[in-house]
Amino acid sequence: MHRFAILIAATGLLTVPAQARPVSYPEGWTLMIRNDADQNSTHVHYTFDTRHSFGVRARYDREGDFVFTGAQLNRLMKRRNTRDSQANIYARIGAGIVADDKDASELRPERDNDSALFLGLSADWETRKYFVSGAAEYWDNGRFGETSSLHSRAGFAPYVANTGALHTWLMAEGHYRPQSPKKTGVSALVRFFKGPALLELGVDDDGAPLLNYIHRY
Amino acid sequence: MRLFLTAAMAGLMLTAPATASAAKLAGPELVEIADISVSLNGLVCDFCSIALNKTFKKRDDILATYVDLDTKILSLSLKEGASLSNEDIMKLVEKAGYTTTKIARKDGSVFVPPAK
Repeated sequence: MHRFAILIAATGLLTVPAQARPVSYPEGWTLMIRNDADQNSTHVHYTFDTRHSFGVRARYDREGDFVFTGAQLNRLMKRRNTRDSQANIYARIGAGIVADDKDASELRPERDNDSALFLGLSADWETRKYFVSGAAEYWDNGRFGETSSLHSRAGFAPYVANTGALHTWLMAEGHYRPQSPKKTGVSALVRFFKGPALLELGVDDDGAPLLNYIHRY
Repeated sequence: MRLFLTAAMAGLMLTAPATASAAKLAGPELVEIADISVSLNGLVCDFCSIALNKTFKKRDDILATYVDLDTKILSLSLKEGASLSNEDIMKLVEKAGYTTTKIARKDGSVFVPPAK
């Protein structure tokens, strides 16, 4: 936990963030899919008031080769609206179980500590032209160990689109994963945004693809 | 990975009809005939306009809504005989996550909330 506190502090200092907004409008459902070199993750949540959403999360950790399945609570800690910008700070907590293929095939008859917990903090600032965000996450993956990560993102819109039109963003994302053999990396991505749907396509510095999708219902 | 790609494609296929049906309910033409025009802070993307549209459309007294990101104005058309107080408008805007800076009505009245 001490390490996570340091990561959170570092996030604030670096003014990083990344992760799309995890709280929608009251009574709205959201599907969030993230696929990159680190994970395949799906999060479906229901926003039950202006500041909170709750849902399920499934995440395949590609490096550890295990799957987390659990529940996730997201909280909008702070929002600042101005005429031309919006800034947010979010916290999230999740709990569930972790398993891998050996569990499914009974190759591991004795399983200890397959519960998991994660904590996250993210922030973003956005105008219709510029975007910066950052996020820190800590995962206690039970017998699969602990992981943590920092993500930051910056982007700009080559043109400003009005309501309902296709919005396009060009973005760069950096990450730091202290437990990973490859601790740092960057990705370039393009974001397409129209109505309730947001699609991101990109590639990282190793050539691995990135595909993220968000839909608000 | 295949499962996630399939889910992503399914989501994309759902997008088109949802967007098309929303466009039929309200569009830029509402700006000229709106009963109430609400100026807002914090409007930066289409998710913002969806949040406001869905929040206001849950009200029985609302006929149509439209959010213009360029002017940062929420246009509201009320059902015949319906009314919506400034307080209710500000509460709904806040519920959606945004901030009201001015409420202008068709009858020419203008309300500017006190700065917080």
